[in-house]
Amino acid sequence: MTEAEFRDAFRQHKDVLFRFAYRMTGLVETAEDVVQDCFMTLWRKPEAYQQERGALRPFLLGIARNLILKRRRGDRPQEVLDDEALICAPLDVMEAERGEAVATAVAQLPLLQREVLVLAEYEEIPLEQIAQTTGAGLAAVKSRLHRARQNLRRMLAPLLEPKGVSYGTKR
Amino acid sequence: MEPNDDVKLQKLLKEWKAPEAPGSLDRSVLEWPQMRQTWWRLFVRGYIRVPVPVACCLALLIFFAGFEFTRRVTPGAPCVAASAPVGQPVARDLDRCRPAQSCS
Repeated sequence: MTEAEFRDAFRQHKDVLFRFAYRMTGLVETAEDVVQDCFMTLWRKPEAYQQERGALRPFLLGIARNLILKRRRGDRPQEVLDDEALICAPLDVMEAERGEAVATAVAQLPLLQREVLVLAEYEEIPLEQIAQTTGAGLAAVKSRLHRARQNLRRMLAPLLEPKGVSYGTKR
Repeated sequence: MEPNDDVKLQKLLKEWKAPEAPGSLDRSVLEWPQMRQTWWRLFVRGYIRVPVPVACCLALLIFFAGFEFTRRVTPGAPCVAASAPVGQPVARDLDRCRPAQSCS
């Protein structure tokens, strides 16, 4: 990879990677570190990216995802990742600002649901590319996205429903 | 009901804005290719990672090498004879050393 190609790749993908890392970790500093490590990997091992296997963006997002999971495992070694069936309880969002409430709700999602939701809803990445990024099957991605939306609807019910309507928890 | 909900949900989700990537990210990442360009820049600003055990061994090695070097270079303790002031006679009782002679 030439220097010009590297610079192009950085300019083209740094924002998507940063937003993804930020929404996954909730911290600007950590997101910055993740993006930096991601491009360092590309710079040091450009042969790891094979053009015929797909576009650069899912490849970089895959690296970022692995870095985030690695950090998370370091912080919480006992955490189980495959808690896809987890049902989130409604949040007390009436006092919080709407944007903050959404951030809190997304942060409550299980990691595998959160990554799919962030990539699909915020970055508008096609599900096939999300499957490529996460190393999961298309059906699993669809199912995680569906569960994530269900959980968010439940958590953010007070902000979605007209005032006075209560939203029960389906457990 | 769900499609309508989805539109509402999507709108609500978009209310959470992510911050812009900080400028320090550009500076730190775009520096690497420049560092490769010029060897002297790497020499001046580059760094290497050394594992702690290797660093400890190197430090010990350097310490002992330095110790050994200084031990060899430092001259030995001065000779007692050489340190005596020149020109002063040393009194010796020679008679005591000789066997007794009889005067006949």
